[in-house]
Amino acid sequence: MRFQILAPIAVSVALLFLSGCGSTKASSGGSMSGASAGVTDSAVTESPVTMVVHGMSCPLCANNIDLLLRRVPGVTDVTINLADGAVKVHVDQANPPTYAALARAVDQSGFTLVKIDTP
Amino acid sequence: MRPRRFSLLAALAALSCAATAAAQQSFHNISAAQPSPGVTQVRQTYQFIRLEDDPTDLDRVVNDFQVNTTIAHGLTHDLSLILTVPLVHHRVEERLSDTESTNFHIGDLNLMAKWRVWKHDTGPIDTMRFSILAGLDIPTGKHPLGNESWDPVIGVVFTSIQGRHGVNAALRWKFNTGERESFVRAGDSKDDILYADFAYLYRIDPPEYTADTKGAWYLMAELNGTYETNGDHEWMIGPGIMYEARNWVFEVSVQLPVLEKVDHRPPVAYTVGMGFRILF
Repeated sequence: MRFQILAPIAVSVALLFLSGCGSTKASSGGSMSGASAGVTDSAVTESPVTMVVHGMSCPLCANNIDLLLRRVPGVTDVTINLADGAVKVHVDQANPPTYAALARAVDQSGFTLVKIDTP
Repeated sequence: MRPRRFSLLAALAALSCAATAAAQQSFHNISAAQPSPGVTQVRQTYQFIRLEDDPTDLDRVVNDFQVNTTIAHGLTHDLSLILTVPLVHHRVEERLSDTESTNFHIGDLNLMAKWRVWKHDTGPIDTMRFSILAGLDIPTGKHPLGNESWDPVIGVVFTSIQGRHGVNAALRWKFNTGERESFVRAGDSKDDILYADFAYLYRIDPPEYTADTKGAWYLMAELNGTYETNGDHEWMIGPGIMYEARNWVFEVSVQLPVLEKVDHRPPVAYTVGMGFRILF
């Protein structure tokens, strides 16, 4: 009886700690996918930088990639166009992210990075 | 505080944190999509389930009101954990004895791992994904709101989205380790059960996404079946409608039986449900 009361509470609390009641930094690692033209460790030099992403499927999916990109230090805003897969990332010019960091965020979000438009 | 209210609060506490929600997932189905690492998704559904025409001597009529809270947490880019907490108000009229009983309790929790083993993205919104499921039903419910055994579950799910069309197909097998002879709901007996779930989603509006798209309307058509190793099986059709915004979803669905051969419990007469997925 006690287990039936404590178990759902314990599991719920554990998951709340895991989520931290908000976002946490996305884990690093994972292989790059898709054509990674433009993916380098150099810092982003223009704002916004446009990436083409495939597989976003719906408005809610777009929220996933938006969240992960906003966690990248130096990203200030993200706009997503589901019509053509264009993801525009606005960056802090004083502290820009690298192209590789943006690519990792897209990969971690579960979608496919096709390319990053670089100058 | 009474134990039942404490359990209710525990279930509702899970709603207090949320991020994104599962996409392209119809009401009764699983999809192969999952949250990104470090992201937690919360979904809550409210469902009325009526069971009648009991073929057993007990001649039961059952009215269940069930609130399911589902929390999915992304561990890596291809692995997530999903916890489902059912809260059930269960009323049974037993015509044989002319008695009525009511139970209000958390049912059996389900903890599931979803591992996406394959994906193929072919366009801005076009994708195909395949995931493996492995989980456990945890006996937090008590009879009649659970089968009082630890039951492993394995399964697979496939999702394809091509333009305005989406398809989900999932198969799950639950190994029942309990010994209960008397039960009300499918899957609560001592027999193993196969769940077969299929869904077709059609985006009604907008016909094409644009840069200004804020949300989308979908028609859902589901086919949900169960087969138990005692021979009982049911197939339900489930039309529904869903509105999906950037950070919330509202959905409504009904289920009606199309094929039933049930000899050991009252079959499902119909279900009516609605659900929310909210980003806080």
